[in-house]
Amino acid sequence: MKKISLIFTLLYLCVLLLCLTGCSGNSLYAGHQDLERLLPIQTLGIDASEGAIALSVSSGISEESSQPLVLHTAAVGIEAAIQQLQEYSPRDELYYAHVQCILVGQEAAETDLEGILRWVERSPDMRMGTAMFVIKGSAAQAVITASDGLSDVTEQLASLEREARLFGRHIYSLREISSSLAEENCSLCLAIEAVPTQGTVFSNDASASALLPAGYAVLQDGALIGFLSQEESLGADLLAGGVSGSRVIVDGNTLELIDGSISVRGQWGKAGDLEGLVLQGSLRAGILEQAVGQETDLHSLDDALSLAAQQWLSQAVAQSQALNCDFLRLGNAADRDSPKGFSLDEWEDIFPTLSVTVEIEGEVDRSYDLAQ
Amino acid sequence: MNDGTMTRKQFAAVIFVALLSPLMRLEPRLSALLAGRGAFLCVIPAFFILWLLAALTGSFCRHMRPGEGMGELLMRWLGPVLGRTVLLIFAGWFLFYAGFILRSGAERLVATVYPSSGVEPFVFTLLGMCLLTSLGTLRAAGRAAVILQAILLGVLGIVFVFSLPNVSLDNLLPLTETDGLSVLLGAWPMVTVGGVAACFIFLSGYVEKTDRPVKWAMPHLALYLAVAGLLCAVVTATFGPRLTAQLSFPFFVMIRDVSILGLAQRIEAVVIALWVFTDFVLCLLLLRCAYEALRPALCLSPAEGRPMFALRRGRWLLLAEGGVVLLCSYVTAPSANDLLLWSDRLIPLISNSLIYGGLSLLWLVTIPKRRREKKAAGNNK
Repeated sequence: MKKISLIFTLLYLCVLLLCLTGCSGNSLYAGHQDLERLLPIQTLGIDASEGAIALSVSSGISEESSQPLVLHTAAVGIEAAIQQLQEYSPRDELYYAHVQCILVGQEAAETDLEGILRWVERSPDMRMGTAMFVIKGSAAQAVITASDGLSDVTEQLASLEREARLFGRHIYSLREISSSLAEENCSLCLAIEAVPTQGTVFSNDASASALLPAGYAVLQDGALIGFLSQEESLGADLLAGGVSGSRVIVDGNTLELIDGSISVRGQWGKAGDLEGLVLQGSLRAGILEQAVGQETDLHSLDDALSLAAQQWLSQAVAQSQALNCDFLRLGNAADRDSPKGFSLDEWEDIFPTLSVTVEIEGEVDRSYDLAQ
Repeated sequence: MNDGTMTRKQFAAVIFVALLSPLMRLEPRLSALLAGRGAFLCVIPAFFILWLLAALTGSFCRHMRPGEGMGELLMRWLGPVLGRTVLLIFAGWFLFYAGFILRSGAERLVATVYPSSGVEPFVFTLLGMCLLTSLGTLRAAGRAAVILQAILLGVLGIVFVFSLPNVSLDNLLPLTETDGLSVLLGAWPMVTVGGVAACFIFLSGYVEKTDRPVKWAMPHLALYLAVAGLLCAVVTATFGPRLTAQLSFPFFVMIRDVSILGLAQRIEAVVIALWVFTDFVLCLLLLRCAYEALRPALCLSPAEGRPMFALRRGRWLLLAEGGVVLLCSYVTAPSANDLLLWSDRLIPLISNSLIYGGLSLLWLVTIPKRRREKKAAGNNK
């Protein structure tokens, strides 16, 4: 009896193991993919195209191939487009588990950003930590023209990411954007634009373009509602405390921002109502290069930096109020500063017309080689 | 102690591993939905409620005679008619819940890793493994659970540590006194999951006895709540409470972004595959609990200590249970959306009614019987 039991057990286990294998084309595991046949896609470009979704993908430059595989198609949805691309793919299975960047075209961001974010959340292949960029214009154009033989879109975006981090600019991931949209119903996302490289970068391809930062895209209700200019973006970064490393030109002098901090204080009426906000703080910078042919008075440079910083932040606040989109999270700051009884429920009604005062004290560090 | 008896350490490991299955199904999604940023604080009210439950189940355990389980105790206290009715209700619930666990575990695998597969292969394989193991001894399952507990805790530790670069404290703080009520509400899913442990009182006859069951339970309760609290804290800090509440399996979505020192990425398939073992252990225990509830009701002898495929003396009941569980796995939640509804509302409602309501009621109903037994024991002395 014991022997029979053992034989039955072993047979049963063998059947179970066979069920779980992925070694044959007839496997029960339908998701099986041979590792050697996978072609990792590194960048996805998503556009809206006459009621459809246009998907552009780039495999990136690898050790095996100096020329990236770039494919483009349009379909009713992203999954359908992925299916189509697979059929068009001249070689290998397209593999999306290691996508590093997602480029969303301006039109797609205006019309279907919510759908794109939901797709990423649901897709077992995609990662929420993937960096997302909104491109002014077409993502397809960027994916295709950025491949000039010297670099491709993935390399350019990776380089842009590195520079952005170096110069204090924040790269938003899909996770941060989704989370911020869920919590605050608004978010920022790094905006980029494709700029022709002719005359700057000398290559065989005259139509090649480079991807450069173009401020922030403002997202609300799961859609793109506007952009922040470079200066307004600097104001948003300043409030978020992330300007370290940014380079700015003030009165012809090139300054590197060292650090800054801004606190938000509410002005409360007797009835506990919010009458205004005061954004107060400081900004420290160092001189990288003096203005050509000018003598630098460091005290007046302090004032100029103060004025410039106030302008950046004021412009960011003004844009936030114009769009009625609190991407600077002033509502939360006011709530934390508020006396009992203040409710954020009516924030959308009061925010666009709320009086906001900005007071920033700039300080330019004295460099050892400058006369006092 | 016979060959089939589990040690206390093994019993604790079995319960811990089994609880990880419903924990990942409900948490941190529901606590984030109910308590928002304060989801991780829900462990505090949950501790007190689960401590009371441990005291209640401990009270039942103290009255069990050597070799007696919950089934025999209820038959003795409630009599043949009421005792059988209560045991049949509990057995029915255990089988139904096991069917649901099979189905939800399969759906989790399909949704997170194998989108183009069906649930059938997973349901059949898991049920087959559970049946095979349930025909063996519980001690074997206990030994496996000790190893699984160590592996799962190690994996959770790695995932939590390497998820830290993605967390934002803004998603957890600040908290104000107005969050207190929502934190109390948010404890409900943790209490629901923890309450499942009380089902395993039906296996008491196969576990070595302790004089102080509540004291024994405390460190294991603390471990469970520590894992639940960390899970809520890390996932909510990563996604924010609202996005966490919107995602079906936020923990498994989080793992997709885990990178181990840049050397290993996309480890989610391994982690999700490991979670199959938690479904396996829970389903196995529920099968055995149902058997231990039905056995005294049908006047059958204990199942342990016989050859695996010897189906006489009532062991055929385990195979019959397998059929019922399979049926339940098909009857429950025909679609993924229905499954979410069942998972969040119906199953916790029945589970809590039977565990918290049912056990409390039994405790109250049996007070006169317990007094009589105590008096009789005093007279004998």
